[in-house]
Amino acid sequence: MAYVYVRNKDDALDVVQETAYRSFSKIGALKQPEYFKTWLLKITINAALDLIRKEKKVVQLVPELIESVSLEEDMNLSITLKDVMEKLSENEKSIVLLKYYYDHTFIEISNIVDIPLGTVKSILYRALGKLRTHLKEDDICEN
Amino acid sequence: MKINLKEEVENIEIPKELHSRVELGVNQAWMEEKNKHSKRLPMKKIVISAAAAVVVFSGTWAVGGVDATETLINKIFGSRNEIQESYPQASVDDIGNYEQHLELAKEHLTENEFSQYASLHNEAAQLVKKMTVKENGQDIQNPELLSKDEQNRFENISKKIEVFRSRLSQLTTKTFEEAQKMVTYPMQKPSFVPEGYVLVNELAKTNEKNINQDPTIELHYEHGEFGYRIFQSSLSNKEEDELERRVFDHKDSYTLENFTIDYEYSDGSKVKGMRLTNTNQGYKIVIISDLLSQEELENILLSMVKE
Repeated sequence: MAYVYVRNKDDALDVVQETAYRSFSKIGALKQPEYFKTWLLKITINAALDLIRKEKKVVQLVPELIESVSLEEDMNLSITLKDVMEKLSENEKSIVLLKYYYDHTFIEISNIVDIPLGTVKSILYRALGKLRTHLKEDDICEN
Repeated sequence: MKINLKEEVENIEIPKELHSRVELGVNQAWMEEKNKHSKRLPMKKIVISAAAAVVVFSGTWAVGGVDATETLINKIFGSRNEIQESYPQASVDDIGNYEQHLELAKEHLTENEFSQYASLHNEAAQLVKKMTVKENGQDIQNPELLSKDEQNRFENISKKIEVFRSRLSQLTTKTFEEAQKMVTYPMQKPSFVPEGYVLVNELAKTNEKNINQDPTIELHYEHGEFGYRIFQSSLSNKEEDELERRVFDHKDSYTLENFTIDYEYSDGSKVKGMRLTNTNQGYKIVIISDLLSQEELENILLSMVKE
């Protein structure tokens, strides 16, 4: 997870260390042990975003809403991890990974990233739209 | 549009340092819990600070004064001041423990091995001295003050020292049965184990001053991501026990079935610690738990002392 955000091994290991530090420090605040993995994911994402914020100074927190897109379109296009890492903002990466790697529901994602449910959906659709545009452009260039 | 990230994410190579970085993060948090008022150091600097600690001061060594002028520290480093310049935060006890560790190494390594071990420690101390700076009144180790070659050398030295230390650590690691033969009181596992918890590890450690005396038994139980640890040791063992090493907000002492109980806990945390002292038989049992209630801790400890 950390590597997808920071895109290099050294920074990813820093995020891992920071996550271990924060989770150990705050373990007492975890009220329901059954949510441990979700709680740890949240800490990991925040640690990664803090590191990026520190280095880039600016992180887009709640991007503007965009029109919804349908996942059924363009069935011949295939998203790779590289696309996710390179083309998406931090928030978009979080939501795409939580949805398509961790299989969380929109409500769960909303709780993990502390963003309203409607905005989560909007960000996801926008991310997919962005990926589709890039993929189509690449497709055109290759042809 | 096909979205199949799982296989690709699973294929991301896991760096070999992952486990050690998790350990560093946890140790860092643990040290802060121990000393809540200490200021947190920047992440990368902590890494090297911890690496320096691995070289010399990690581990639990017997506390003992060092009065003789002909100490191994003097022989290896020239003087005690030299080692204190490299490790200004080391206490008198730390230095005593370090001397103890070197004596154990001298006794159990071959002459050639000890010479190599001493030389590695000496070289490490010189590099640590070179990278140590004062920041906000604290001595910290900043690796950027070393050249790339020196950083590589330091890492290489740390690895070689760790190989020796692992060997020496075996001298103080005992089985449950071996430990039982060293003490007069019964070493029992708890007959009460809360539902869902299982014993995942048991070991006994002695200290480097007397490698065949005063073992501390450790039992580790887990339930999913959480668990508890139990430590049993003699009252004559003067090392800090696990409860003394930690800092909790509240302390409560009372008597339960003729045993002295010390119970410690913090606001806003489920982590708790409890010590049962059996003065008649001369031992104590400490339990540190992530989630269990006070009553469950009592039940576990009492189940270890009842006939």
